[in-house]
Amino acid sequence: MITDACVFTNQDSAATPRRLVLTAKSCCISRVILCGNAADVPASYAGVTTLRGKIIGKQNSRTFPDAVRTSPKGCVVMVSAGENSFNRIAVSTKGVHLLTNIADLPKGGFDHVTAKMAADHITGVVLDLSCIIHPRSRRTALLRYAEILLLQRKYHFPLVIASGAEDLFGIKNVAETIALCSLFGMTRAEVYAAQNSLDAVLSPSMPVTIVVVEP
Amino acid sequence: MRSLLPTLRENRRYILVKITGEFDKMPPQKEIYQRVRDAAADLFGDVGSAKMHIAIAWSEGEHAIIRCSRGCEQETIAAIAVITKFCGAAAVFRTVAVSGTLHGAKTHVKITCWDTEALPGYQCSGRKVDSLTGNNTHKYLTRDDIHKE
Repeated sequence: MITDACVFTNQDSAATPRRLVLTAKSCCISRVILCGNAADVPASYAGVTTLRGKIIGKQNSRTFPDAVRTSPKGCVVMVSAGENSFNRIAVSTKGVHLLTNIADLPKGGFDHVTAKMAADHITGVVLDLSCIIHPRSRRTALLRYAEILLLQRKYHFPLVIASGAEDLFGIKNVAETIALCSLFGMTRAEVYAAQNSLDAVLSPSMPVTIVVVEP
Repeated sequence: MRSLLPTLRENRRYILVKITGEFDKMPPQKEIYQRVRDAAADLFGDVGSAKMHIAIAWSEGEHAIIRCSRGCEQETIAAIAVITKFCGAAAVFRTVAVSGTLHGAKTHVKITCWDTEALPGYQCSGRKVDSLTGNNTHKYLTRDDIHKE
């Protein structure tokens, strides 16, 4: 299921959340995580599954667990990345699904220890394509994403691709996603894997439990 | 000067793009070329964009076919994908298909049918819709949104 991991919806923007979902459908995307005010959008619209996302900003280590705990049930919890110590706490906290805003990380903000912890706890890392599209953040984003990709190839934590779109024109189709991801060295197979990796994050494979049914 | 033999000529790829934007009339082909060339130069520099041999092979309505060297398709699509403004308005160049011939690319052209049941979002186009939001700008709706308002 091809997923766009983060689409920002705003009631004041030009496109309504439903229209964003329709545009995602025309771009061959089958699942969208809507962040923002999209309360009236059904769980499936025009054949596209919609999930709610909640982004938790940079917080201190005391208030962060409460913010995760109070997030609505059933929504995808994304944490905005910060310092290295915060990121380690974030990826290992139960209930956190994705680590986002990687392009704004300070140098060394996501090291091999954090990568290993993300792989162990099956926490995804979001690659936001809007950071590549905007010229101001492009260089930093390409550098950070290349570093993240190197770590992902070694530790195999889930990567998730997001368009970060705020309007209709920000949503990218599969061909454009492959081309944009090739700028930092991601192969076609890796892009396909990243677009389909949200299932592994939301419902990770668990050890098999044998249930004995009494006669 | 004799023209090159077919086997010695450079192989090319043709990328069909659909241009969507907030402009009233589709800008001319020359504007499309300049915008794509500038985007490629921004992303890959002058040397990288020169290797792509970008040209506009054909354009009609909201579709255009961009020609590039074979092997540079990914770079060209990436350069097209970073375009966010065109002729002063928000726009997007959406890649539809890549082909080895101009004719092959043209076969993927689909004229948008505004009144199909499959995509209710397009049914608002060309009709006046009263919006209660107050701001007098472009508004992209679906039929469900109209009923809601």
